[in-house]
Amino acid sequence: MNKVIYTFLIFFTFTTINAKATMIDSFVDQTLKNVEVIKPISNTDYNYESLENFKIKLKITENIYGKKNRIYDGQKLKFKVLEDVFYNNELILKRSDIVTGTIQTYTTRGMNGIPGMIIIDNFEIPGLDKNKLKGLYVKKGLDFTIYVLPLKWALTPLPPTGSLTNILLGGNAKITDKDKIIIEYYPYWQK
Amino acid sequence: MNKIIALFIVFFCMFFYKAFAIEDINSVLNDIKNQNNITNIGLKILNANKIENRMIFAYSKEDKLIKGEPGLTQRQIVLYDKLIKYASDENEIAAILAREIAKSNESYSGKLRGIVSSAQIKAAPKKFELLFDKRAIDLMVNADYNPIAFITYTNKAYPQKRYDLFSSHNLTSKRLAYIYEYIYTKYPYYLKNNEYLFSDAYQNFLLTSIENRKKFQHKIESGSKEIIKYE
Repeated sequence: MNKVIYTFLIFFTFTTINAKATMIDSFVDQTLKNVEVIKPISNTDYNYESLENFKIKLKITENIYGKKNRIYDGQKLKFKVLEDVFYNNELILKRSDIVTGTIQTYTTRGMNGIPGMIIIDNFEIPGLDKNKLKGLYVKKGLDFTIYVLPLKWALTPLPPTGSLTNILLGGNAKITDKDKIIIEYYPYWQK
Repeated sequence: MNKIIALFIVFFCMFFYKAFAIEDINSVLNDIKNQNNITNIGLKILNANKIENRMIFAYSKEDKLIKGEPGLTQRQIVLYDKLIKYASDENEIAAILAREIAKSNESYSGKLRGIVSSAQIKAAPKKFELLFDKRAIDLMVNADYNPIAFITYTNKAYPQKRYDLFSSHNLTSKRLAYIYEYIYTKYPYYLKNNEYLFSDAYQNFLLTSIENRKKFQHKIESGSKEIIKYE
């Protein structure tokens, strides 16, 4: 019996010594424990041979302003379809239908006239495959860099005057219902 | 005796000539293999994300192949040996490329065929750094690469400065915290099913990001949407 105990003790000692001290991401464990997460859909099954496409015209339902803490990454937005969409004589989307898109990310305006930017992606349109939609929608604010940067470079030999242009800010991006968003759908863009 | 010595020298020369030739060929073959891998990963990211702008990918053993920013001016993404040596798998190479693709792609947008956008990136690299990190995560996910590799690679490859107030780059710990938050918010699947959880690089990230992760935890628990000031 003692032999069995000794063997167990030796085995236990060795396994304990070899075990690494690992950290568990307890925050993820706690907060995502009861959340059902699905693997995001990738787009590796592409075939860009076809040029056949139709356009979907949208406008945002509620204006957004790309100021700090007003919007956030991953925020869902609603868009209204502006015109009926037909493909092969079949009605795909009706005027005034609502579709959703997601703020992929955004930046606020910066020094030297650099504009803010809002990038919208992941349009979810009932009955359509998002991998067959082309491109993102990017909206920038007022851009003054074309005037400010040459001024900055001209003033740089006279320090610190070049740095004064830092106080000139660009415009924050905003998306209003006056912005017409056109996205293209290519029905044959999959293998 | 002289004949034997002469024969020995000839044999010796032939042997080493051949050995060097084989080494050269192996080196060239290795370079071609690296180049092909990088091109394939790069093209997969471009195609999966439907990026219409042309870019090419180059592998270089030199420290600096082309002067300036070839990614912005020539849309040539150069992967130097000093960057690749930190990568331990295909996902991590994809992380390096995805970030450069995000940057290069932005150089196509805006006035004067992207000259103005490129000038903005050069003038405010710190501002665009976080944007490109986030864009890179999206590009990776669309191309079926694991975005956690972006964290492990960045944790291994980028040093940590004392302050970033007057620097043209953000603190690496700050970048990592924003990347972590972005993945948590948009792609929680990869954190819940974390393939890298027990890798040393990820464990080190968990260890070194405790304070930042506490801030993020507070944000999640309070339901706040405000931007956190990470350190």
